[in-house]
Amino acid sequence: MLADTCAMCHGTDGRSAGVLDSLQGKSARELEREMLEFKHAGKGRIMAPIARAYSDDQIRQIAEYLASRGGKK
Amino acid sequence: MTRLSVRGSARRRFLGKAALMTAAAYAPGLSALAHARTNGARVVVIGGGFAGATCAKYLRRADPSLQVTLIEREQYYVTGPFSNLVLAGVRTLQDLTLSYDKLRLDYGIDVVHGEAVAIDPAGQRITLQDRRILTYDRLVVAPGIDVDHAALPGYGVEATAVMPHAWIPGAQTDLLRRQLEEMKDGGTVLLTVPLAPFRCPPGPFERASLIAFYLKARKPRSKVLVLDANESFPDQDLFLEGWRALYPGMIEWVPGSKGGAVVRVDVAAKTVHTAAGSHTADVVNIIPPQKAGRIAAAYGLANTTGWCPIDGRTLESTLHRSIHVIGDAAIAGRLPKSAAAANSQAKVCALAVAQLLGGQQVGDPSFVNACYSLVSPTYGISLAGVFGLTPEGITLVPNAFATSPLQAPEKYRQREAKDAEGWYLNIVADSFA
Repeated sequence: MLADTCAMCHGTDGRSAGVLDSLQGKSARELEREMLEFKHAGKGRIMAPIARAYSDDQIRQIAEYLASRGGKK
Repeated sequence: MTRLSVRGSARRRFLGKAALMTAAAYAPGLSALAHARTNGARVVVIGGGFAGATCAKYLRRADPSLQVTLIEREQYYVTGPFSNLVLAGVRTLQDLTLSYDKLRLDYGIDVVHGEAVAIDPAGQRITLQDRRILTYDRLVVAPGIDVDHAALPGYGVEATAVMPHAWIPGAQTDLLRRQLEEMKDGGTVLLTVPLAPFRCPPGPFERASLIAFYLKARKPRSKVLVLDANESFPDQDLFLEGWRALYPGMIEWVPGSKGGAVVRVDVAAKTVHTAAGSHTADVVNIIPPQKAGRIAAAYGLANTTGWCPIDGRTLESTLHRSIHVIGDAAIAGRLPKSAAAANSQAKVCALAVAQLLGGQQVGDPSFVNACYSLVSPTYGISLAGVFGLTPEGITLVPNAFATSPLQAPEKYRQREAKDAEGWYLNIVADSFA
């Protein structure tokens, strides 16, 4: 359920139609690293407050789930 | 099980073969998080806005065996998000108009264009205006908003032809745009904001901005006066900073305590009365007091506030357990009435429905709200927050809220305007396609 909330801005299963980052094709490790940077380094525009809502463990699970959805419809 | 099979045959009788065929043709996108065994249970969703459409789609993702029917009066949906750009003259309503084809064809949702005229919670049955009867195991109601005509003396259905609200996009948006086009240079546009809660809290201020954007280019001696019943508004400092930079002296905002609260309107005189005096303008846009969509009150789902109290975990009505209420109509704690919050609630609701039908426990919900506002088509600002359930209801997760920074370089605002466009494309696709 946590990962489905990403879809609002990044597309269903992370398939983005516009300028916002597509999450498709990224590895779990890559997604996790980016989320941790948003969270701990305050990187990014809108993503910092969102990333701060989740524990590092939740971020890892979100990243793994999204990576598992890569390439699937 | 007998009960379900009786319902199954009732459904075939009322909906015919087509619905079953599309359901069978659907190639499911499985959600790893929800594998409830619901044995083809039937869920009806009433209302095809962001909340209802997203919920129908994510119900089918949560459990492809669910039979999902979406009841929606209109053939097409016009999005509230970006409708202020129509007023600025940079988008048309056509650009913002969506069909339900993808939900029907790609997700096997049975989309029924009609109006629910009666609901029988005990018998779990809905009657449509053409007398068709739909049975359900779970019902989700997402009726959006209605204008509360009685709440503003002098305003009413006829008044909207002179003082459009344009808060439910469509013909009203066109009318307001036409009035802006016909206004003389040097005219005044008056925009009134009702007491919260109402749909899209930053929306009136984006509208004031984009009207000023149009006026600055075409009628630069004109003014925008915003009479606001409230004392503050979302992204306030960012909007004020943007107005100073882009539209110096053009937009005046009056809070409730300084005469911003409208007590009565006089349509014939194009005049708006407040406790501190009256204002006459060339174009008057009344953003009126609002309440949950009509069917909410008709079904006994709304309380005396006009909105629908819900359980923050399952999003079931606290007045009618087993009926879920989502989107703008719901009282969802600290979540605002936004398309983003509606999309987020819809997913929480879809999973909760699948889990309840499968006899599973419903876990802790998590909601996201992410809203962009355009101060001009190339100047965007945003706010975002993550919400969870606490004993106080749905509240912000600590530290998980922020807005765009003040005094950011022009480039940053341009990027956020582009982000807004990306957000729009994706939330529309995530909800309707």
